[in-house]
Amino acid sequence: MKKKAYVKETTFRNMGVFFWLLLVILALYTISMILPMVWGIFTSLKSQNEFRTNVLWIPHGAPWDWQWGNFVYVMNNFYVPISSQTQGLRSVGMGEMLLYTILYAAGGAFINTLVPCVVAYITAKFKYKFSSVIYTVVVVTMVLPVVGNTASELQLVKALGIFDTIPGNWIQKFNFLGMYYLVFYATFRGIPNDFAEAAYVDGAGETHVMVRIIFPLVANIFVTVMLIKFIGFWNDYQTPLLFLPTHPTIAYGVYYLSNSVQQEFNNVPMRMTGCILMVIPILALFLIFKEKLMSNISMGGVKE
Amino acid sequence: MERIKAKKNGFGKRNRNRLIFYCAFLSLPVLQFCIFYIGVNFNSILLAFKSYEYETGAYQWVGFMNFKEVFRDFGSVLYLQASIRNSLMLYAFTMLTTFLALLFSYYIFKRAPLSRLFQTMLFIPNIISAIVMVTIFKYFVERAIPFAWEKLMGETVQGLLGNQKTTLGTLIFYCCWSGFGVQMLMYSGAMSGVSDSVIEAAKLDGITPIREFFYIIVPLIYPTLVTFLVVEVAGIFTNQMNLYNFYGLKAEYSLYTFGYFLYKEIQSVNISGYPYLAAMGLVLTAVAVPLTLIVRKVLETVGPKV
Repeated sequence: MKKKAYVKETTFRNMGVFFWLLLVILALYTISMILPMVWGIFTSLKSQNEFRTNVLWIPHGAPWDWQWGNFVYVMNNFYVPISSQTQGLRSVGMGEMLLYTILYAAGGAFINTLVPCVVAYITAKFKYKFSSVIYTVVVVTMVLPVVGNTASELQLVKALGIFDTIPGNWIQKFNFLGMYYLVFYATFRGIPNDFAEAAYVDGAGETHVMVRIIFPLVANIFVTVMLIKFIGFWNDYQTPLLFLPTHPTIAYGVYYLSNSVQQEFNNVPMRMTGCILMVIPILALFLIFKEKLMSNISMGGVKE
Repeated sequence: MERIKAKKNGFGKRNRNRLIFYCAFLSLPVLQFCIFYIGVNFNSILLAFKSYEYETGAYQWVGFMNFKEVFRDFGSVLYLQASIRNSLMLYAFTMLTTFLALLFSYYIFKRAPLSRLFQTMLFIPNIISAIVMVTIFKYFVERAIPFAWEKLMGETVQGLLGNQKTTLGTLIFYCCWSGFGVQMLMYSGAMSGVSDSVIEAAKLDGITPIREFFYIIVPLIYPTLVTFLVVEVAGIFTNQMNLYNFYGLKAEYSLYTFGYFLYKEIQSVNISGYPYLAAMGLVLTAVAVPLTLIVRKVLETVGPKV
């Protein structure tokens, strides 16, 4: 309470030159961020012919006359040509891309959140020596950068027969390394053992205690981490391009669209349409969970 | 006596169950780590000493040949020399971004006017896909800005990316412009941990916001700052400067960074190219690891003592 009252005191009235200067810089930054986005939206609502003469301004005519059909056209006609040894050459449309995106992003986010969470719980609550080994491994792998091992990973994934498969990609994401292990670890360390002890006295098993007693206490953090990962995977096209070449996601599709030489898509309005289509779901998700995402994240991690 | 024995047995059973549970739930993640971290990196080391033979269709040991090639290329190949220059330049500009991110975070921490809006705007590039941001930015600077300039000034100009004089600057600007989000959250999160009483005491002494920022806030969040700057050292070797988003496989040699080079090569080469890339990765890791440790040591030594 005290803090809230304290920080509230910076207002327009008592702002000094320093804050005014920062306000101006941040306002310019905001304008520079909004301007290209608005331009992109307006461009996506123009025809190719109109764009040639009207690059900058809003589309001609009333809003209902704008080229809303661009979105329908991209949804129905855009595809990514895929060539594979087993299926030959085929086209992947938006529906299939959406399916791969959900499998890749939602599945990957869930696995990549669950595994650090479980490992953090076990290493935080079970005082075996191996627990501190795991903790040290996580810290060391975070501090020491390993560069350029993708060739080796690609080779290994191919050798294991999981290359270019969604479950194979989930296996790659089944790891506990990284910052969020530390976030979960700190959280579990902060939870007193009394809850678990009470459950043990009532005859609960270890799995029951973990899943039914402790995990609900960290549900908020779990959801936040999963959301962050989901957004990251939704936007990621470089991993699918490398490890899932015949399972294009929507981000992969936008990458393809932005470099496409297909006549009907090789123009700015259509490329903008593809971009806006991709942004809409993730922006909606962000607006719904904005408070959770922005207020729960701290130190690149999550506040307890 | 029997009761004690039974109790002991109960504890023994519970300890055994705990151990079984521990092993059962850790075994798969540890196995995954052994294969996909230890295995991958170990294989990367081995791969660096091999070469692919088309005749046999297998890898053969070739000693240090790949390393010789890597060092030779560093001395003679244009894009690797450009990679060194551009990657270092990008790191230098990241420092500038860090300073601005600190200032912005302070503004948000103090809940100055419109801080919620600015916080969202600074975070937006982390929500929207890089490929979308880049595509919009690319056409905005290539089409909209030259068009607007022509209308306003009456002279035709090239796009900022199309003009070779401004290409690198525009790419670096883009990286800085879109790179505030995570830093802003990190720093404003760390600032919210600064004790109210410290700030209040300084306020009573009549401290100005600038002095408060430099003499109280920055020293108190210095460990967070060090963490970011240390992690960013690895970025010298992995940051693509968004080149793949802008150009796909077709970026000009003079724009290359290590991150772009490694990703692009892995995209475009077949399995015969893997050993060279593994050797390159090993060389870069051999530089990155000590450099990271040195930067950390230096920052911890020169930093403010709180």
